[in-house]
Amino acid sequence: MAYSKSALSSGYVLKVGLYTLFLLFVQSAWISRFPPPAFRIDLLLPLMFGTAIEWPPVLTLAWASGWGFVLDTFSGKFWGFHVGSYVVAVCLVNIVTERFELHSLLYQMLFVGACALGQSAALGLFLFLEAPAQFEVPASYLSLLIRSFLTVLVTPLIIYPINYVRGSKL
Amino acid sequence: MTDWLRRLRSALVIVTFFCIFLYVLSLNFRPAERMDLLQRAVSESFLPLFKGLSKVTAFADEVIGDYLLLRQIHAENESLREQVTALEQKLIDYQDAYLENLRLRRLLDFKSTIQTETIAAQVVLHDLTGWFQTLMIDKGLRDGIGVDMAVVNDEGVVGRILEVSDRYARVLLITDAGSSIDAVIQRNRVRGIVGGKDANTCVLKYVRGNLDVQEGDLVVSSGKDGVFPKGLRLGTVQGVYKDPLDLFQKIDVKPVVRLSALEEVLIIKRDLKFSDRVGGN
Repeated sequence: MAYSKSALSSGYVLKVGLYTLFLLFVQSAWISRFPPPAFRIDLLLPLMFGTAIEWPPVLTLAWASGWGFVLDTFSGKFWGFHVGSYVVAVCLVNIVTERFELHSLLYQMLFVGACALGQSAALGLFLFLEAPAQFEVPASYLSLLIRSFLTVLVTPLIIYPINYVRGSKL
Repeated sequence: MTDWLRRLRSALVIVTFFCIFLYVLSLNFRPAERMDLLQRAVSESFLPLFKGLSKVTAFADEVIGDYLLLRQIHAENESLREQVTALEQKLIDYQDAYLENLRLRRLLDFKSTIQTETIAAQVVLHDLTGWFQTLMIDKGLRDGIGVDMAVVNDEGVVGRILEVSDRYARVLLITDAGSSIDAVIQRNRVRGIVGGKDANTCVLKYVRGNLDVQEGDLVVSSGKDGVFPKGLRLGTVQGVYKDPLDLFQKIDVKPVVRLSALEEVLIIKRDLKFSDRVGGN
């Protein structure tokens, strides 16, 4: 079912920008420092999905590219990992919205889970190619699978503030 | 005409984003050196915010820690009083030994092992994904930092400088799979290459199966790779696995430095090449 993406106010975009910064801080201070590798999820992937279903395509692509480049800069390795993940997620949303009602919570979680799975697979492939002798395949891929599942679980928590800010007079 | 313009605009958007993606992908194949303009813009803009945040989170951790500590303070207080009494006696003994040590050192004309200039830096940010072993420090080109400078702390080797910006630099930790350090076992000078395995472990590679390596052996830098001075502590051997079919034995090394709790580091300065100087290409 098609839906329209209405014009956005600069105030709303600014609020989402501040929210994105907040998620970035949480990612750097806690998420990326968790001892179990499976807990190190990407908080911005569900956020990109949330903006893609509300914002115009070109703006969302620019948003995804910009924040993806920021994360790639602070990772320092595998350049294009975050840019590619977010841009692919945004493009898939824009393709799929013609056929699915992506405002449904279940569809949102499943779609983000699929994107997270693809992202984890790319990450695993890079880690394997970088050092095949040191990469423990079963344990590492299990961690990546759990990482994708945890991303699915946090999706509603991350997307909800975007919809709330848009619907409120904050 | 309008339809033609709309198609042209769509094509331009696609080409633009494709070019952006090609640029980002090309960064994987660029040799490590000074960060380019976009990378420097991102680093110089965001890292001061992260630096301020780390102070806030450290304060919050301290407050919470103090509250939890109060609940056990009474029992611990009693135990500590008894320990203080015993320690006071030990202190007197150690002071005597310390004075004797000073005299012996003067006799031997003992010199410090690290004679080069060092720069202290604070850790601002660890890798955001949590899957790569890099971190950002608050010193850069303006402070005389260059690529491939060794990064250490009082416990041992931390890593080396991977990329530099004007006021910040990226450090590749020894636990990263892309790290390689020429090392020897202190006990018997068996030589190998220390590389990263995961966040808490390194591996000592290319050690032939017939050489003597034991758990607990201290691994130090050999000084032969031109990056790390000789004799810096890298780690201790945690496990040795010999496969009769394999030419080399598999040796796990636990780093001496607690990399997840790093706050301050030292960068060992060396002469920069001409191309590394500020304003050079």
